[in-house]
Amino acid sequence: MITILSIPNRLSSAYNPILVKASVESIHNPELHIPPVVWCDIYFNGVYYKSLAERNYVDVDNSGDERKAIVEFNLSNAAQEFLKTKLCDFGISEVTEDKTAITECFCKIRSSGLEDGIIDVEGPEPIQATKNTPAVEGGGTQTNSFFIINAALQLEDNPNLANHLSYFKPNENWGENTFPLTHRREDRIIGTNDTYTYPILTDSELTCLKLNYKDRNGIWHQANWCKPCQGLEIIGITEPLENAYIDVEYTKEFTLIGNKPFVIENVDIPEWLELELIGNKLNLKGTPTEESEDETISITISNCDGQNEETINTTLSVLNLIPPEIEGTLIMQVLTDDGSEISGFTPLRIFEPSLPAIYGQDCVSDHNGISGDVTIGYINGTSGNKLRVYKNDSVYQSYTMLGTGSGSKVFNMNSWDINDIIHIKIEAE
Amino acid sequence: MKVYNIPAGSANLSAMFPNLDFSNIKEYNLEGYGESQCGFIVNDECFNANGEPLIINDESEGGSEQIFHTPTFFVKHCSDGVRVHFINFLGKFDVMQFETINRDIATESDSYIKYQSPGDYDKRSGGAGRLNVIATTVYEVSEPVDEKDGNWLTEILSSPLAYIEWKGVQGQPSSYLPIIINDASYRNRKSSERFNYEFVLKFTIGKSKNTLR
Repeated sequence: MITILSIPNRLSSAYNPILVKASVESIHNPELHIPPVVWCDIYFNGVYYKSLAERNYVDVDNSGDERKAIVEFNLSNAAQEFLKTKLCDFGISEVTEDKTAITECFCKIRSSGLEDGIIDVEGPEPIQATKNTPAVEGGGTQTNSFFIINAALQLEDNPNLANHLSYFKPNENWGENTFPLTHRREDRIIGTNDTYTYPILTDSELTCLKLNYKDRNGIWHQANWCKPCQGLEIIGITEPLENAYIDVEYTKEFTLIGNKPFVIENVDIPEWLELELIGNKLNLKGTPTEESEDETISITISNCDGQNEETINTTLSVLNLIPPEIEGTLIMQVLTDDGSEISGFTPLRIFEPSLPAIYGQDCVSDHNGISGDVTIGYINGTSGNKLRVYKNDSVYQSYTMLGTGSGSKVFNMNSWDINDIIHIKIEAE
Repeated sequence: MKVYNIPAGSANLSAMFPNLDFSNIKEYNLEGYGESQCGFIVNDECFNANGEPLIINDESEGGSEQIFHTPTFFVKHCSDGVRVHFINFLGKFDVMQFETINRDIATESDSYIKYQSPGDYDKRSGGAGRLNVIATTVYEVSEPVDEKDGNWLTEILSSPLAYIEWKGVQGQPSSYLPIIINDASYRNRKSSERFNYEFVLKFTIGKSKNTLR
């Protein structure tokens, strides 16, 4: 069991401490031992970068049934390695995004335990990228994301970087989450052929610039520049749409990609459906009351003053069937790709299918039966292959099969709930 | 969050707005706008990202939110100053313009004594020779500043990486030249004449002259 105790501010500077603190139990006999090692796997922009290992803990919590190591990691050095300062080309004439000066960061904390005197590592372990291969994500408990910029705050500065930068906005016409990356608020002198780029940090998508200039006669003029308009793409269209059921609330979500605003026209949908527009999502919502077949769904969407136009053109049927009842049960899908089969989930009571379960089968179990450890068995396994439990598409725990044939592994299932989607997989890598 | 470099120099904006003649401009500033607050338009009615109706007035740039407004840039015509670009404490390049400039060529070298055989009376040979000649360009530039500038002037003095602008010659495009800022101290508060501060920066061009052996 790993609990994230604290993470850095949403915006941090690379040359000041960036601390992640967690409470970590051993993966074996936590009532007796604290973990011999705890890892913090650092991910920059969603890609694994490097791991920090810690054996010296800031504290040990012996107050509960399980002993917990309180561990703290400083990500500052890794951020300094990763972030770069880049000089813009002389006279550059377009707005450029500097992806080397900022990174989005999160950590995954992994524990360990002693098994027969040997350190057993919580897996799977992440793998660094090489020149020829991409990085491979590992397991562990993930922190929330935060941003790091290539900056150094001084002793006198407000340690909250966002608050610090707010004091250097040169005037009041700045967005709440837009900041200058310079400490000079003052006006500047510039020659007629000089180069300069003004650096800003923002959570907005910059789309247009307005140049206000005064000529030698003292008259002000304006000139505008806007980013070229992006195309339009609609994600989520299927033909037909997933069926609706009588008296059951129906929701279908479409994601729109491209420049806002999106103009919605020629809407042809059943009366029981309503359009919901949130962010860049167009949702169809409603509760049908009568059966129907292949009802027309047609919506025309355009952006960039009509430059791009796409149409959702599909059908939807309403069935008089009761959808599968999943409330109160946990569904675990078995995905084994080496011919092996899952033989048991002790102490879970499996309703269906009768075990062993094979590739692609859903095992439906009483959700309330989950508490503590669950032993997952397998048969026809291959030595070296991995038995893995995925929670919501992320590896939750992994185990390397030590022998060919049948075996089992204890997985901790304390932190699963009814909304989690659990996959049991046996994989070669 | 994102970091943007906004073209703000006259050379940058001349290329971005080709119809502008900077020789006729006295001052300018830049405003930046984010994405339209209007996420959807249905039946000519605008809705924001939360699906709530949005009223757009004439000053809101079609629903776009103003996200920044730079300080004013005053155009100095006929300037032959030196512009130093340096990494600031926020990891980006800042620039300072100096109008008072002293430039020296400095050389360093070693010497050796040539062997001359007894009885050799060639007047051209013999005596001391010079080798390992290193010739560098050294600048001492200065600019009047205010006492309140003292804090950020620390950033230029302690910057590990800096360049000066170099106007292209012999048909080459303009570029930057790397410089090494000399260690120095700057008194940013005086006990008298606190209205009058002069910031002096000494630096050497990072690449020495190519000399012959």
